[in-house]
Amino acid sequence: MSHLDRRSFLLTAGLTAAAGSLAVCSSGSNGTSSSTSGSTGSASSSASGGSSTAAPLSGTVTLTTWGSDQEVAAFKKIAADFKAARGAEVTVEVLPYDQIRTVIDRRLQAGNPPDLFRVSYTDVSGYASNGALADLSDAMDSAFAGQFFPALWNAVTMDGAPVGVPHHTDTSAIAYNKAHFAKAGITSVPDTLEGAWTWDEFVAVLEKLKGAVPEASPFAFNYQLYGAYRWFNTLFQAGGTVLDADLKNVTLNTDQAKKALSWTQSLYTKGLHAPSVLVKRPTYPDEIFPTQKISMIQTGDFLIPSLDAAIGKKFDWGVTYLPRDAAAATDLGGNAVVVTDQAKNKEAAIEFAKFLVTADNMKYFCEQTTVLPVRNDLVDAKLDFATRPDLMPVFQKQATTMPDALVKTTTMSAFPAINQALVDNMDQFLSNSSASVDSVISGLTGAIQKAL
Amino acid sequence: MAASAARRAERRAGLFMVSPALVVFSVFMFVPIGMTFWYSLHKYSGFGRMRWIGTDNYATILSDHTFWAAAKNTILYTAITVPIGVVAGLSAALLLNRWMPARGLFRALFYVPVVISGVASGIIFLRLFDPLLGILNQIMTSVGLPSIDWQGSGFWALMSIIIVSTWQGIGFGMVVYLAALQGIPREVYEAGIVDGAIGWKRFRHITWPLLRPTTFFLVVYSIIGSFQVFDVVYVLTRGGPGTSTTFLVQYAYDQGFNQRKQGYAAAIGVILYVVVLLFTLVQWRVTKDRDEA
Repeated sequence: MSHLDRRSFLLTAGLTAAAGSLAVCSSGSNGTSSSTSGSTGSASSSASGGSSTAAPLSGTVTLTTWGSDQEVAAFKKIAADFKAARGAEVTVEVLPYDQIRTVIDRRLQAGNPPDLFRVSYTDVSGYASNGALADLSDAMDSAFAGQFFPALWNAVTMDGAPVGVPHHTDTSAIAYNKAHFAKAGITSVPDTLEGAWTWDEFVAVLEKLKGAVPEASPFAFNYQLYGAYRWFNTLFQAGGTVLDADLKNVTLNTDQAKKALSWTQSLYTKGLHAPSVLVKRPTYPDEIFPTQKISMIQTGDFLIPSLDAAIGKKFDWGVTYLPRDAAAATDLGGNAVVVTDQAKNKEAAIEFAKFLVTADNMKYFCEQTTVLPVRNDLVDAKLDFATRPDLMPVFQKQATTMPDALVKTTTMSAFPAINQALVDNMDQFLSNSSASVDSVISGLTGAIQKAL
Repeated sequence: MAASAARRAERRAGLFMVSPALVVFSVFMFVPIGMTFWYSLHKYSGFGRMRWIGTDNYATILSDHTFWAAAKNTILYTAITVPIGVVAGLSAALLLNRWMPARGLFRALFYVPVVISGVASGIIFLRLFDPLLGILNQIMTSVGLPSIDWQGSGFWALMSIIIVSTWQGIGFGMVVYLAALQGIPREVYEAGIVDGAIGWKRFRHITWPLLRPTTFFLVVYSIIGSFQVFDVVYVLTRGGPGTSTTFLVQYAYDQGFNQRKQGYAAAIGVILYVVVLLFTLVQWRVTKDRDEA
């Protein structure tokens, strides 16, 4: 497995820009450099049609999304700016995260979908391959495409034709309760990527927590439902892979995959992982962490605002890097915005999609919602995150450990079925202490191979 | 001739009067049932192109381990909840059929869960059963009992669903039994007293035999309901851990709406339809025979 320094990450996955952006912005500095602002403003005007000199639009478009309060507020602010600049009204419709996929599907089935909707990169192909999304080739040329990280631009294309715009990316790290750590006598927490705990060190920390804070579970992963694929972090940390280089064959029947599975299961059997937090569980670790019933969780940067609001002044918390074994690894998260083929006001919908991802608007959205930009011209931008800017450098550096192979796997068209294979097999495996590693490898291999 | 014309007029009037119900049933029942059969013969994601695959979905079901696990769970759930529901409903009815203070209030309290939506009940119990945050485990640990992993253990997850379903169902059984108990003529009991039938004997030799048609109705109705359990499962466990609480309707929903296999989900629905239809036919036949006797 290639472990990516910043440059090779860029070259191989097309995400180096993200990595670079994260590393450069790690100071969490306030303010935006005028040169960046100026250049991106220019790019957005010319390539996106987002300037006020573009042809005026009319009517209303509906953007359907899920989101935290901060995300919804950011969408609404950009929608208001769009109306002021272009004339068309954008209605931001907010649905619960767990329901948005089902609701969008039914509206598509009924022939009454929204004009645009927010969708994870892993789910774009499921809509595009069924003809639900508009071909935006005429509105988005290669110059426009060239503004974004190639891997994520590819994730919003179908047979070379764009169907939406990449909006942002995010990734996972570890959030921990400082009071519990103090109680357990854990005084040293990794503050560099290179110094991240090894798996053995991580288990030793969990055992200390288990002994010192018996009223809380030491840890919980964020592998739930549509995020089941985040178990691949553990797999890649062990040096394993999901698919071969051609993305044609499953490569889970390896010592590395067996080690990753055994290690994950051992956290449950040793009482180091919250027993009821499984893969199908309808509530998430980040909902429990603020109650101090879990000392440490694997979580995404996009949850910082909601965690901060829920925790308030109840306790101090920090973030550190994911543990590493043979390598460090984290997942590719993030979302795109796509335009439906049956959009009632397609022209305005396309223009709003482009407006949403101008450099200024993407930067604003990322700063407000603690996620990471996906434009090349924001690589060197300093982002002024609105909530807990002190935590973001860890996520930014952690993002440089997204393995190339994992990015490719995550953005392929078969990915929803791969994720579903994980939901079905890992939930069974982790809930049953006598389940064998071989049986889950067999189940996963069969289901994923069938999906390819 | 005149009689024949009158019959025709009566038939027309009858048809006219049932036509609104017929239209509603056609639109919301017959057409969807027909479409379900049609979908079950196709590969269909819910939108996009529909591809004819004949009986392939049914063939796939035969070798689908999760389907059979769901079928086994559904039968187990039915075998546990139906007797408990019937006995609990009868017990509540017997208790509340006699005079007692605040009888109306108790009847209402038993019936309230019936009118609360399954989703709302599920959310309430999700909070109660939550192994880390739930009040049930907090009470248990406060009195020195071990906490129960209501959602991480397959057995306890199934138990949690059975508890909620029973809580929801007692009120309905109680109301049906109350109606039946109040329909038993007082004279029958008075004659029984003359013959020494009091207490348990009165229940065993008079009440229970006269409640047999009601019990039969409740059993069949509950079996049909048990085969259709969904909302509580969806909210409480999503079928997990593993497939411990995966039931047929929940599995069909998962296939149709999460995995976008609407043709396959429709095939599961058709199988469920046939099973429920068999129970309905049994009930219809028995009721018909009894009415004609």
